[in-house]
Amino acid sequence: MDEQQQHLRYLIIDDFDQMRVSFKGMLSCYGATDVTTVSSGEKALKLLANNSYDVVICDYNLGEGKDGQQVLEESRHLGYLGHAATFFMITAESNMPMVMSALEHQPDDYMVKPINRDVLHHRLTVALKRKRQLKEIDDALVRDDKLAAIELCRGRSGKDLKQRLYLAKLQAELCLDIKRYSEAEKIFKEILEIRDFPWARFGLCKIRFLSADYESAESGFRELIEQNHLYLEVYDWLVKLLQARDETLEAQRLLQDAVQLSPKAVARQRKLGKLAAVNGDIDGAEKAYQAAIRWGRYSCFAKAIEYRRLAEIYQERGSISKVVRLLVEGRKRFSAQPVERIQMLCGQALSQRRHQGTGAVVDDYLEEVMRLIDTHKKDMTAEHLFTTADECFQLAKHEEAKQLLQILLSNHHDDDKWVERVTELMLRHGRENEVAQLMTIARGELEEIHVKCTELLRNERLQQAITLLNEAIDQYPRNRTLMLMAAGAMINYMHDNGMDQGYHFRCRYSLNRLLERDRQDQDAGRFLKMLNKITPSRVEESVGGQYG
Amino acid sequence: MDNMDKAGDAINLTSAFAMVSHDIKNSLGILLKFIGMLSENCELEQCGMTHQCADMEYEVRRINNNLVKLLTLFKADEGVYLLNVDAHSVKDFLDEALLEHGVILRQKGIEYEVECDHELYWYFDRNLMMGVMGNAISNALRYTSDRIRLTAEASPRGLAIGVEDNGDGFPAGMLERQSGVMNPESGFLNNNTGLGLYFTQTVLDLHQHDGIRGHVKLANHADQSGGIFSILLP
Repeated sequence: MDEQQQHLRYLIIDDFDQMRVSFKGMLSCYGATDVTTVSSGEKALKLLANNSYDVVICDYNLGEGKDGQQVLEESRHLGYLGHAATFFMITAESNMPMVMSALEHQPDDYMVKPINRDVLHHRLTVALKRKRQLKEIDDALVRDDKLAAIELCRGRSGKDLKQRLYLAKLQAELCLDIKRYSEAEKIFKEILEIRDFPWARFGLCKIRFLSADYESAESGFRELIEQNHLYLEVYDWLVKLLQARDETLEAQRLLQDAVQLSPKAVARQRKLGKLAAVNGDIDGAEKAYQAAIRWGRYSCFAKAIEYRRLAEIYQERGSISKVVRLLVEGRKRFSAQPVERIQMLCGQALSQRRHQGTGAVVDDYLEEVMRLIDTHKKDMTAEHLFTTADECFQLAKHEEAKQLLQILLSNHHDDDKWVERVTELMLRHGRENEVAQLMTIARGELEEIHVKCTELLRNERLQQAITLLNEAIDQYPRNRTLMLMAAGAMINYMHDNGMDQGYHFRCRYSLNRLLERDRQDQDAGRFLKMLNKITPSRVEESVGGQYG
Repeated sequence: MDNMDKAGDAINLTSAFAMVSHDIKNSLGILLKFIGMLSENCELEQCGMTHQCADMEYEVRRINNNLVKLLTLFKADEGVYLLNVDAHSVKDFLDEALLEHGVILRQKGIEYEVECDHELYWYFDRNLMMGVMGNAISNALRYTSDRIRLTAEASPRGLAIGVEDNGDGFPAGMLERQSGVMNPESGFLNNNTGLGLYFTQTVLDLHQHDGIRGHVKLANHADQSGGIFSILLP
C-alpha cells in the first residue's frame, strides 16, 4: 500500500463480526490506520452523515435491515458520499440484480467473496487510480454541471479502452438527461456496433419512448426484460410507457413482478400501491403501501403519501384504531421533514375532525402546518400546496386555504392547468366568487415585475433586468415565466459579453429544473440548446472506432 | 425469507441444490478467512505448518471454485445468467487471477510471471472469466514443479490467453479426448478436468460475438516439459 492509501479513512460495513475483523486486519496489514467498522446499514448511514470517508467497503447482504445497495443509494442521495469517495460492494455471487441498476446507483467496483488481502489491495489500487483520473468529471457532477461533465467526457477520449467506454456511457446518459437525444442516440448506436451491451439498447429504447415512439420502445423494453429478467430499471420505464397508454392493469402486473424481485425499493412499492388503487385492487394497494412503509422506516426515500393512503384504506374498512396509530407513527417518522410532516398533520387533523369533531387539537395541527409552510415555502411543490389547501377547506379553514392557493398561483400564474385546477377547487368549496380576486393579486404582482423588466430592457439595462428577475425568482422559486425570462436575458447577455460563470450556473440550474418538471417543455429545451451553443465546446467529433 | 412460504410446495431438487450451494459458499468464505489468518500466523512464527496451511487453502479454494462452476453452469442452463460485459485491462485481470492464489504461490515457493501488454484491453465478464482462470491456475498449481506463466495476446479472432506450467504435462489420453468435451457420451465429463473444460467452453460461448465462438485447448510444450491451457476469447 503506498503512503497515500495508508492515510485514507476507511469504513467497513458487514454484519458478520469475523468479516469485519478480517477486512480490518487486511487493511492494517498494508499500513492503513484509520479503519472504522460497523455492523448494519442503519448505523453506517449515521456514521456517513457525520464523518467523511475515502473508501467504503460494504457487504451487499447485511441481514435484517437495509442492504448494501440501499446504503449506497441513500448515502449518495443524501450527499453523504461525494463522488470523491470510493465505494466497494462485496457480494457472495457475481450475478446480482444491482449490476443492472442505473449508473448513478452503481458502486465503483464489485468484489466477489472470498477476498484475500492481495486481491483487496490490488483492487483498491486500481480503483483509486481510476478515481483520480476521473476527478474533474466527478467534481462537475457534484456541481450538477452536466454540460461541463459532457465536455470533459468528450475531451477524455484518449485514455484507455475501459475509461473510453465508461465516459461514452456517462456522456450518453447525461445527454439523455438534458434532452440532447440525437447526441445520445449516436453514442449508443456506436457502442452497439462494438458489442451488444444491454444498457446501450436500453438507452435507445428510452430515447424512443421520450420521442413518443411507444410501439418500438415497448418491444425493446420487453425484449430487454426477457433477456435480463433482473434488469429492474427497464420495468420502471415500461410501466411509465404503459401508464402513458392507460394500460394500468398490465402496468400493475409488471410492477408486481419487479417488486417481487426486489422488495426493498420504497418508491416502486409506493407506485405499485397507487396503480393497484387505480385498478380498484384495494388489497393489493394495502399490501404495497404497507411494504413501502416497512422498508421506508429507516429510509430517506419514505414519503407521507404511503401513510396517508394506507390510512384511507383503513378508514374505508372502519379500522379507526389502526388509522390513528398509523397517523401518529407517520407524524413522528417525519419530524425532521417539514413537507412530509405537513401532510401527516393534515391527515391527523382530518381524522380528528371526522371522529371527534372540531376542537383545539385541530387548531393546533393547523397552526403548525401554516408555520411550517411559511418557513419552507421553497420546498413545497404546487401539488403539495394544492392538496393541503383542499384539506384546509375540508377542515373549514378557508383563510388558510386561500393563503396557500395564493402562494401556488404566484408561482404558477402562467400555467393554465393550475389556474384551472384552483378555480375548480374553489368552485367545489363554494368560493367561486373569490377566484378572480386570487388571480388578480397573483397576476398583478408578476405584471409589475414584467413591466419593470421590459422598461429596463428597452433602455438596454440588461444586467439590471437580470438582477430584478433573479430576485423575483428567489421569491417565487417555481415560476416558469420568470425562470424563462431570466434565462433568456442571461443567455443574451453572455452571447454579447462572453461567459459569466454565475449566470451560466443559474441559467442551467433553472432550465434543468424546468425540464425535470416537464421533459417536453419546448421553451426550456430551446433555451438549453441556445445555452449549449454559447458554451465553448469542441467540434463534435466522431467517437466511433475508439472502442475496438 | 419472504419467498419461502410461496416456494413451500414448489421446492424442487434444482432450487434446493442452488440454495444449499450458496450456503456452502458462504461457509467456505468464512473458512478461507480463518485459514488466511492461520497462514499469516504461521508465516510470522515460522511454525513449520506453512505447507499444511497452503494445502488446506488450496483444497478449500478448489471446493469453492467447483461450486462457482456448478452455480454458473446451473444459471447458464436455466438461461438466467446475466452477462456483465465491460472493458477490462487484461494485465490487471491476470495479475488479480494470480493474486487470488497469492498465499499458496508464496508458501510453495512457486515462481510466476505474467506476459501481457499493459495497454491491452478486452471486453468480457470479469467474474465469469475469473472463474475460468481460477480453474486453470488451480490445475497448473497442482501439477507444476516450480513455475507458472500467464500469457495474453490479441489476435483478429480474439484474445488468446495461456496458462503454462513446467510439470509433467497433460497425459496423452486426456489430450486425445479433449475434443469430446461438448459431447456427453465421450465420458470425458466424468472427471474434474472434463468439468473444468466444459465450464470454460460454456463461459466462452456466453461471450460469443460477431458469430465467432471461443475455444479452449490443452497441449504440452514441445521442447520442454509442462502443460499449456489455452483459450481464445472472442
